Amino acid sequence: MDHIFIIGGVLLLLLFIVSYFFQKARLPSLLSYIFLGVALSRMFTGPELRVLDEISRTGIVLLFFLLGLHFPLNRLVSISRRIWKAGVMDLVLNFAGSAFIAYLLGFELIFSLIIGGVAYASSSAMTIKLLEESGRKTSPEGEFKLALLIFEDLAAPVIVSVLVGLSATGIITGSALAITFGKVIILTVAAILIAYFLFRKVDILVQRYINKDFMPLFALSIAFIFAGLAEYMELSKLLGAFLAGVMLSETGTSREFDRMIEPVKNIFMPFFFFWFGTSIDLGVGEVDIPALGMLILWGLIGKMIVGLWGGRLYGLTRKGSLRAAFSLGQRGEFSVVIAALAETGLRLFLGIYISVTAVAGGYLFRLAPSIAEQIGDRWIQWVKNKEKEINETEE
Amino acid sequence: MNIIIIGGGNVGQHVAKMLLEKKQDVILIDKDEKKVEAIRGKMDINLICGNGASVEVLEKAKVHSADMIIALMENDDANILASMLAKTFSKSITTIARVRNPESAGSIDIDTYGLTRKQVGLDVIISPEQTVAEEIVKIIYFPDLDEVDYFAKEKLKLIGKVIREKSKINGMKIKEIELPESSKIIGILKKGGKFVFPSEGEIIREGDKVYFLGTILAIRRTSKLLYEERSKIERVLILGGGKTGYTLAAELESAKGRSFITKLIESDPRRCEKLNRSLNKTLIIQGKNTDDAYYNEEEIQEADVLVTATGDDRINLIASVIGKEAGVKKIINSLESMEYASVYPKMGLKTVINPQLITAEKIMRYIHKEKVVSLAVLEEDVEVFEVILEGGCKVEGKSIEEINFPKEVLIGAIIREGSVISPDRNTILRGHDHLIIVASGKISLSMEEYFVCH
Repeated sequence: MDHIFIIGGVLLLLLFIVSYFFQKARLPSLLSYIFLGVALSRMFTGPELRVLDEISRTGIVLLFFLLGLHFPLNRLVSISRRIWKAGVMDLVLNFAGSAFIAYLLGFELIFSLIIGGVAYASSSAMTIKLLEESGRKTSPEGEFKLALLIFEDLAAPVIVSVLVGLSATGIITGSALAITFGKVIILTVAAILIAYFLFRKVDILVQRYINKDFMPLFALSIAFIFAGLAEYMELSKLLGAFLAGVMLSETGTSREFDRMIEPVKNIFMPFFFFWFGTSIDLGVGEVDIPALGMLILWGLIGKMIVGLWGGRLYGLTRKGSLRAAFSLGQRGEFSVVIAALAETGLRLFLGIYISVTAVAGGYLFRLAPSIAEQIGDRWIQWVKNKEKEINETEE
Repeated sequence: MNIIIIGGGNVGQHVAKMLLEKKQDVILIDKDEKKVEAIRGKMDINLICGNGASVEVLEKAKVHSADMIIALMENDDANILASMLAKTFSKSITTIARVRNPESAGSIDIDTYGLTRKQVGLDVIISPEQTVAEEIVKIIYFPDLDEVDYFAKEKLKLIGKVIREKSKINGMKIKEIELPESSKIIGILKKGGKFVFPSEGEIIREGDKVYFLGTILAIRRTSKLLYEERSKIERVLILGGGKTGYTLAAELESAKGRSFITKLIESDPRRCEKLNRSLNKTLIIQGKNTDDAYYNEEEIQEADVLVTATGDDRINLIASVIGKEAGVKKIINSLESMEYASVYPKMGLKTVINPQLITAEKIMRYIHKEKVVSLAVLEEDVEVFEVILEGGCKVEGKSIEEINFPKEVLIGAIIREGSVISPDRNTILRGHDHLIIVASGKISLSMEEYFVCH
């Protein structure tokens, strides 16, 4: 990597230019980063991609750390009580459902499962970024989506370990599965205990020094150590970063930490989407277009059902659940990781699947409020008429 | 009784007025000169202008010979201090303090310093927000009723219901109504606003509010006469995450055997953070940092119950109108300023919780010399209270007919050794009986001659 400043500077400039024009065109700026990544993917070689990968990982770790800051333990308990139904629904419809459809379409079992894995998780990074850009992050449906993403991040390592086991050896043992489960639980419990017994008690100390210039070092150290620890345990680093945020939020200084880390994250994040663009493998090969179309369609419908039905179970309003229904379609980083497990022939297929859902999902996300407004009013009117009818027949 | 009230705010004035009506000796202390003058203009009462938490002023109010001190200043700590000082002057004085902040010393039985409520010198703590929240919870539980109260450790229930045209008992005489055993009508607030004690020939008409008392089971059966089907309450929306909103959400979270989807809208992001840290089932919605946050039509129109507790009557009123338009089943308002008390009913909002009135009601329970366990004030100043009969008192061993209570007194029920008795004229009273008495407020304080042994 010679001329790192020139290359880095030019890349930053390009990212700035494309996102400026996308903003003007009222399109999500993250799509511009992805497109730029796709366009420039051939220009980057192995070592450069590795650097890009490191930078992008930092970005996404920070993103999840910031997210965790807004989920103190009590809130986490509160949402986990409500999200598990939607979470299970998501798992059944999008992982099992997509795998089943793929199997029916004639894919081998192992490939079908990989397709299920690719179809399962919505892109956390895209969803959060889109929520931030649209100002819907603090809305109830924003919270629902974030909760679902966290659920997916808890389930994802288990799915990855199953699929890695299956694709490597063709079998998955109960003990390997139990170990992964155990690790997720150990990491979460450890974070909760540290939050409860340590960070709740050092709040005065943290608040005293919160405006000092060494505090970002403290925050980042916690974030990176926990993310690294999770990665070392072969779990999702995002889960680790999120838990680090949860722990720090117990000091009651989330807003201050947010303020100091946010600008750093904003510089790193575009690199993540850019890297995501470069990782989409649009090589040559044959693609079964009807099968791809059907899976993409189901990928969007499955997420719609989770948003709509799961959202209602979570406690969202009708319009809120409609907005959620149209805001979960985008697949991203997790799907890329799973797609890498597939053999080369299938990668093009999966690459197209991910990019189409990412773009379509991002677009639907933008449309969601107006769709919800139009359908929601009719829905509410229909429910009210129905109630009226029931009352009248009773009388 | 000689009673000192410190704090001439709305509650202080209201309590003073109620006590004066009951012919008690009251001294009101307030440090605001203008307020004292204003009160002098509307009430014939002894007034002292000064700091109620100072020894000098308390001495001037003759605290050593007072029977009760009611501290209702804005500041919790001042109320606690005044009570502590009063106790040092007189061991026998009853101290009542309003403590708003749950963190204030003594508001729980044992505070963080290891002092008990008694050690701090507080006999009774009144928390308006807690009381309001409890009241709202009752309404949410029984949205079809207009009044609910419990007596005898929740063995007995008092309900009030405004009779509608289609009600089964509309137009019936009381003697014609077949009520389940262990339940009875204890009073009727006629449509014109007059409270009448039940007589066999009294006809129930549309718009009358009828009060029933009975065991939980009997009241459940009785309510079938009053409405066909219970309103189903699933979604509760609370506007305002202040003390009332927070306490209400916490109460709903701990509701046993019921589960609500409770949402709370708060406009202040910092407060939201705090609520998220302390509530664990309620969905906190952080609105924009303006009043508009509360006019969230999308959330309001899907709520079954809308509770407005924003701390600003104007916001409460606008949000309630949105709720009414959207057809919300039940709208409950927590009144902030007495000036708006008459505005709510004019806008068709009937369920208004008045913290001042509720606080005063709670205080009135302690004015009785007899041992009053619980007390509810119905409209028109009618009190329903549970009293424990002292052994050896005047009425022990006599039948109700023999005792010849005044006309405006009714024994609604007796709890004897844990079981409920529905009394008639021949029922003989025994020591340690718990009596549920309905009496007009004016004479309720003169009942001690019957129940206290001298």
